[in-house]
Amino acid sequence: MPIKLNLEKIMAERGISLTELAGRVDITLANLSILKTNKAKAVRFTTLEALCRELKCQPGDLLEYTKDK
Amino acid sequence: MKLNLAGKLRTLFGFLRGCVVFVAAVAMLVVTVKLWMLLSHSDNRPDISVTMDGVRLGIPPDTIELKSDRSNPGDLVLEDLAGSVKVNLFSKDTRLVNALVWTVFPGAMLGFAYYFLLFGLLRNVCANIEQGELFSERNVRMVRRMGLLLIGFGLFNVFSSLIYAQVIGRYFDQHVTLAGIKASIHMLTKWSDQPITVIGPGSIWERIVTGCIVLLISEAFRQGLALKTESELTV
Repeated sequence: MPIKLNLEKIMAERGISLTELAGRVDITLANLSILKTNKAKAVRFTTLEALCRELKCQPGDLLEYTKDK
Repeated sequence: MKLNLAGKLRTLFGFLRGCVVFVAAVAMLVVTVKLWMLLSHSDNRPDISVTMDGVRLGIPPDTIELKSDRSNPGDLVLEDLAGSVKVNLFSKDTRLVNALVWTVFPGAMLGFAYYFLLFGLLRNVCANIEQGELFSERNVRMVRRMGLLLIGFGLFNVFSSLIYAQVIGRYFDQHVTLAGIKASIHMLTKWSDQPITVIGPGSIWERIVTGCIVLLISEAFRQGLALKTESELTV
């Protein structure tokens, strides 16, 4: 998938665990894990909004486009 | 009150599948017992008969006169009569028995196998739906198999009807005479005869068309599965 979610990097910078973030954004741990491992096919705006709110970042910080090699 | 349709259908198809096994077992048992009685040269002649549909009695011209008070002579002509013929499965005529054995028994066994597989697939699909698993790989595979089974058995019926007519028809041609009327019985002894009488029964074509519809439904299931997978991976 050319669109990547740099969730792991930003979580490490903010010092927040997966479990804590899942509780704050009201997403299940399983779904957050899907996001973190870039297995998701789509992200809802509501989810993106919740992540940006809790991680205090912009959508552009989370999303990255890489060309498929 | 929630109607557990999938559960009830699962029970029904499971029951029907069991019935197929029971009927097949009883049929085998009856045929075996009757065969044993026959081989024992019992005086009680076994009485199992097979009815063959789609038999035509070709009427030579002017053999039977049709009249009406309004039509002119020659307006009404009787060309053939259609009906069924009943033959004794345990006849002493080995040629007749061979003809029946090579047509009736394979068809009956395949028929039992078809219904056993079909009810089994329906039961399994209903069981999956009852567990909340509608769009899944297993259900897509099973629905596709149902469609292929319907089409396959429909095609088998078409070809087997023609073959059976040839086998039985050859016996009638070679060994059977009609007394009392100068006519001959046609059971498609020649390929050039109209096959409509034998493959006309709607159930064969309905089965093939239904099989095609079920294949389309399996495609819908497959697309449903794709949508469900995408939905599950949308966070």
